[in-house]
Amino acid sequence: MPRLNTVTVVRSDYDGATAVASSVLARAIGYMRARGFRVDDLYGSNATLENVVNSLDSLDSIFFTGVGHGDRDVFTGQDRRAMFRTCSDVDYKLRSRVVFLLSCLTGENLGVDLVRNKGVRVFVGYKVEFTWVQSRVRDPLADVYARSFFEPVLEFYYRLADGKTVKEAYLASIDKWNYWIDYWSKSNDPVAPLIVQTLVWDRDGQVLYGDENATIGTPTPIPLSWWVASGIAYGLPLFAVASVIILDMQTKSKVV
Amino acid sequence: MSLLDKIRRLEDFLRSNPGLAGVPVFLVNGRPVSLSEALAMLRSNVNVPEVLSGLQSLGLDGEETWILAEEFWRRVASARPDISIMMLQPYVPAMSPMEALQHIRARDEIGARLVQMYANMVNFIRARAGV
Repeated sequence: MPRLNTVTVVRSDYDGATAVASSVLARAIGYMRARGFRVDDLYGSNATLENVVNSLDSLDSIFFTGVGHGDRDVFTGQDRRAMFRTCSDVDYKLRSRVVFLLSCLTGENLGVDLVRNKGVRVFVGYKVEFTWVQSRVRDPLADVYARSFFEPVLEFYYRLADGKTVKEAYLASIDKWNYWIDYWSKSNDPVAPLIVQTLVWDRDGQVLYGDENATIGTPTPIPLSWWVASGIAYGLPLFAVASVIILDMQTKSKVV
Repeated sequence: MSLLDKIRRLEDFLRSNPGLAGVPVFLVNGRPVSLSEALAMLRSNVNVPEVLSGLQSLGLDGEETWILAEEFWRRVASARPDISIMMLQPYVPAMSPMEALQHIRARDEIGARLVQMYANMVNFIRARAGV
């Protein structure tokens, strides 16, 4: 049996989409570490199949997760190199583990194959193209639109790291999708219909196959230092955005 | 459901979901119509049979869905041309609303997925509005 409280993460970052999603996953890693999990973070050029196999062999992680481009039958690492693929023997490396892929379409065939034929304990992923909308803000969690798509993803990681079952974490994530769907349905922002459309797409495409009662370990209490650090990490971008808006409003009022 | 009930349901839906009021959802005489425009027509007794028939067939697939999705993306591209639509799939990891519109106009594979995405939203609206 894989070791509880251990995680292998793979984060490719070779284009805009993977770089943004990887930066979100960095928050999840920070939280899991704060909860006492040992996390092997294979980032950027380290996001290779060889490194993943080494990590799984040495750490024997209960939880394998990653961000990367995907398709119905394949999950890829850095520079779009195939990592896990339907009908591939290397997929047996994921046997008995909890797997979550933040990737397009892997929930359609690959996830089914992993659980049905490769012994993966439980798979969570997307059977659609995981899609989000972003303005020009680089940090997705400080972006008024992108934030709505990544908070539900983070919710899954956070609740899992809190010791909840996969089903509980999955449902908490769905609740977050619903929160943002309601929020944007009530909004007068001209892009609101597009945001709702895309949120509904991602929410309805989020799938769970396998043992819903699986957990990834027992968390430790979150240290105070994490709250301070995350307060700074979240607070500074929000303060910067608010300052820009206020300065902009003051400039406009002077012009008038 | 009577006409008055339909009007009341539409009013309730639009009051609690203003963000979805402007989504084109069916065609009336070949012109894309949103739920708020449909409500205005019902209230003023204009094109009532066409609007009722449109509400009845809301969310059904077909040629009409392509036209409506194109109109949907045309409105998005006009409102916010500067935003990006990003995906974790390797072929088109990022596109502008105008590029999305071009995919629909070209009726290519990406365009078909965007139309499916739009159709999902119309089904969502239909379920939520209960009309």
